[in-house]
Amino acid sequence: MIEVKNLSKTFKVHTKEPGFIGSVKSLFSRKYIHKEALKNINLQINDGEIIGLIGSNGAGKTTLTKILSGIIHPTNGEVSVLGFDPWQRDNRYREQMALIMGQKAQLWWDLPALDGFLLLKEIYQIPEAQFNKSLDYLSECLMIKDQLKVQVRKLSLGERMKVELMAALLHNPKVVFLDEPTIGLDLTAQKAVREFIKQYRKEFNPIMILTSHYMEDIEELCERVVIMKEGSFIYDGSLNEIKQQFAKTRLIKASLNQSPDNIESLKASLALDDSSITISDNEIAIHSPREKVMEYSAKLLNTCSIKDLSIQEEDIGEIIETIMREGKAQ
Amino acid sequence: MKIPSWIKQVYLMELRKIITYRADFWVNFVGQTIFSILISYFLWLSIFESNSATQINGYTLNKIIFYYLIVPIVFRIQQGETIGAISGDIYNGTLNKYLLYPISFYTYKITTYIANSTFFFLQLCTIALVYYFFINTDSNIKLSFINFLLFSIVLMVSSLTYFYLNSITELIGFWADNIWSLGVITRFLTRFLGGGLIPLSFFPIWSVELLQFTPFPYIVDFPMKVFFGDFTYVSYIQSLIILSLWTLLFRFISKTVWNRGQYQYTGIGI
Repeated sequence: MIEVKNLSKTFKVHTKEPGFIGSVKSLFSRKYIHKEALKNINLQINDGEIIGLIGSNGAGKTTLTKILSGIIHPTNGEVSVLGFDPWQRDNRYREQMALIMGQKAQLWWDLPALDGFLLLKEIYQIPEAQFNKSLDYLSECLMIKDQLKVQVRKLSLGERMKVELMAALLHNPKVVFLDEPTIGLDLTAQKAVREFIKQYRKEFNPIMILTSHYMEDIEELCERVVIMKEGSFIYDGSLNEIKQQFAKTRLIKASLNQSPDNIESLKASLALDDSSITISDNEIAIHSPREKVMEYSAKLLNTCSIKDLSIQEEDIGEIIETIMREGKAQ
Repeated sequence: MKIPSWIKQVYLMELRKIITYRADFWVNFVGQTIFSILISYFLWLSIFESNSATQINGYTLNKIIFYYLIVPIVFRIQQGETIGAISGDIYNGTLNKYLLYPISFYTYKITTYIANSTFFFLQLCTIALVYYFFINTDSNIKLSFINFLLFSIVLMVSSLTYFYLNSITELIGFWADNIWSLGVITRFLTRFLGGGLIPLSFFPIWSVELLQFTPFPYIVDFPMKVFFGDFTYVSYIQSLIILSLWTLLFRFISKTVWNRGQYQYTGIGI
């Protein structure tokens, strides 16, 4: 279990005036500003749970991940992961935790991934049989078996991410922090990584915290999301709740057999204003309030000759973007 | 005491890493040796000729060339990795991975340091044997197995001394944006004040006496004296104890800076 109480982190950053004179001045005296990266955060994550951490750049997601993994020290507050204070860096904690950084390689650049794995086997004291089993399982799931003897620097971005995932999961951690694991990958590689995480979770059920800017990652992998803005949580709940709470409309899309004779009379019969209905050629799109979806669909079916009809949820990415912009979901 | 298996693995992996760049390895080895011989030979030949001397401050021409052949390798053994090995980890965030692993960062770094030094030590052995048996004409230079063993021990301790001394300047990277100049100064001071540029017997006596209160003569001059057999067993033990005390002091300072510095660490690079 992960428990975070009243967690704050403030960074002291020096500022410099622009230009040459500014540089000379900073040699003698420096001005500092205090940047609050996390403000009084409270969080509880149960065993086996996976949460998606969302927020724009600088929202504090990575800072929170770094504190939970014990890399940086919190300014205030209490943190407990699997009963350990991460900052103490107890080996019993580090043996059960993994951090995967999409933008930062952990493996040894100049050597084949397999060499790095052998070192990790010794570092985490993984028994030979378990190591071989994990190696086989992970390399097969990630379809990377034939690349393990290639120098890491010579692998493609997608392959590198796969071997990074392998390196982080070889010791079968109970807590996994995934910091943008699909960043920079092409669509196929993104999908492969997502599928793997899904499968791995099903098999081993660790606590996972996933940070990503890709909504597909969050939607496919996380039941619960935490939205951050300027160091605070502005939403903590399930993805379904977000849709229930914030998706006020649904999109009804209809393909017509022929263009409507009278657009105005159609609009009048549906009692919609111009902004919520779009008609072009043989297509009609209606942004309908959730409670009126059935009513409008029925009216459409009665009024027009429909070839195809679909009802779509509002895009979750857009909803979250609105929440982040307005910043007051909770 | 059983050495943890991960240390052996790190050591072997670092060796593999060095061998990966074999062109660099051989250029470094051959290039440095040839340059050292040429520069010291022509420089000291002219000094000896202009003084019409066969010996200056205890050094014959043969011995001084041998000295300048060995001293850069001694220094390279002590330096292990290049400047920036630790501060680079701080600046680009690779320190993160060492903080995540259930191992000691210091032990990891010392192991990679020793691996780097191993190759330089092999270079030293090769060059010393080739010069001693095929080039040297000075019968006063007498290398012995015992002296070489004692030299190896002192070289090991002095490498550790330099590692901790250098780590202090590297760890200042937790606070300063760039420690490159500081690294260069530390390296230069150790080399110059330790007798790596000019043997200490060429320094004024008062300055040599003053330098005995610093760690530098014990890091460079002392191993060189042992190499050439210019020592007594009593002076050897005394110097080794003093060098060990300096090592412990630098280790203590380094650990203190490390403990404080971690609070400044932001893990940039994630």
